[in-house]
Amino acid sequence: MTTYLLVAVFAVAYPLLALWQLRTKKLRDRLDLLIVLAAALLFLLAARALADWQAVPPWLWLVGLGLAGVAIGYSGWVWPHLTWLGSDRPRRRATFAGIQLVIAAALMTLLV
Amino acid sequence: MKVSFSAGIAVLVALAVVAGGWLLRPQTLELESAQTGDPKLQAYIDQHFDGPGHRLEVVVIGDNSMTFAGRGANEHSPFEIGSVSKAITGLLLADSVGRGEVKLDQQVGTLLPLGDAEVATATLEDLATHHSGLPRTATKPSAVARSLLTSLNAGNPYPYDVDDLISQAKADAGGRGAPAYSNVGGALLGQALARKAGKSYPDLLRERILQPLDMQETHVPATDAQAAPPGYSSGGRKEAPWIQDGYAPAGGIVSSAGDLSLLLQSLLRGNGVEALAPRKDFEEGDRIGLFWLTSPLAGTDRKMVWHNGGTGGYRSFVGLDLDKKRAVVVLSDVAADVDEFATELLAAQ
Repeated sequence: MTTYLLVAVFAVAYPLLALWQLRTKKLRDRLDLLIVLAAALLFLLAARALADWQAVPPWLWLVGLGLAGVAIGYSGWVWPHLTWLGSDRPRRRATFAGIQLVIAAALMTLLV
Repeated sequence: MKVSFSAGIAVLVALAVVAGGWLLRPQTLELESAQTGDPKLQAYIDQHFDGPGHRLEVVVIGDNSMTFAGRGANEHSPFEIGSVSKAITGLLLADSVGRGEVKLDQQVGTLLPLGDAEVATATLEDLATHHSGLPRTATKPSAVARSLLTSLNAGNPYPYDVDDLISQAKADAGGRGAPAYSNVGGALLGQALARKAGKSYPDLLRERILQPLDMQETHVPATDAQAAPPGYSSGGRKEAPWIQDGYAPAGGIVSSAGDLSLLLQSLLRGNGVEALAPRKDFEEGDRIGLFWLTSPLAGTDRKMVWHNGGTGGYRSFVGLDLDKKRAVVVLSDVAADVDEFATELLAAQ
């Protein structure tokens, strides 16, 4: 039960965190932005699959979806102010970011 | 200009994500509107069933009567019954003991090739009362990974054959003594009985339980075509059928309310009740027989003998009040517990 509630809270809390990171310019580069948004969607899909929606009100998920939508929309204003790779080791940075995005995409495919 | 272009793209993506999310959102399913069966029992469902539901079938059984009511289902509709399969395996154990094929204090290692693994010394009674020390589910890394994966993609977590089951059980020996609910133990017991009888578990089930009671709508599915229709998670996600081979005795049976009513009515008439008799203490003050649990029947001074079941997309409950000779069956194709509803229905008889 606690686990289920935690999952549901993450579905709302992570998109909120993503929005906060965008708003306060905490992101290093565009890859960071993509990873943060992908993670927000991943948490939403995981919550949909794993939460006990008999115990947790389904509207909570829609709050998370709304926040994720706002974060994605707002990212359009942040995007031009970021470079693709804000790192001293661009190749390594690109590799790790790419791996994270591929894993996120694979998990999302499973969860849909 | 650059900002407005990226903002436009982002807003479009956001709208697409929100629209897609709306389609995928978790939902509280409602019972189907099509009604079958007894109007009074339908009225009871209207007044008391408050969980998410979709297809639902409810039965009240006496020793000479059966009253059915369904939503989007009838007494012939197939449902996955999950761990109610264990209760049926308990009946098979009592039957095998009655035939003199096995003894309750016989070690499972005498029936299955478990080698010198700790589980080999568990008795059939240990397995049937969840006192074998085996865990709830297999703890081999590959099985845990598979279980995690299937919880993500709404798949079948028990695709294992009998050899896989034996291998998992050998790796999963634990401390014995305290009760611990075990799907591994339930499956191992059923396969041990089948091995002793020289048959597969589905054949043993058919010959010793299904055919004598004329339960023609009950089987162990081996393919998608034989499976029950996909059920739903509590949030409305469609779940894959749980087609089980090695684990069939613990949770792989598909049945109908009509067939389960035949089984419970036979028990109410005194056939096979030795499996129901409590033998050991279980969790939360319950007592346990050969998988069948005995608990106080809430709101009454009577006892209830029962088992419930669950798969990815189904929930089930069978319960008997042996004093009043009444029993209930509740089957749902949504993975939201029906125990409370079923218990109240039984208490109201």
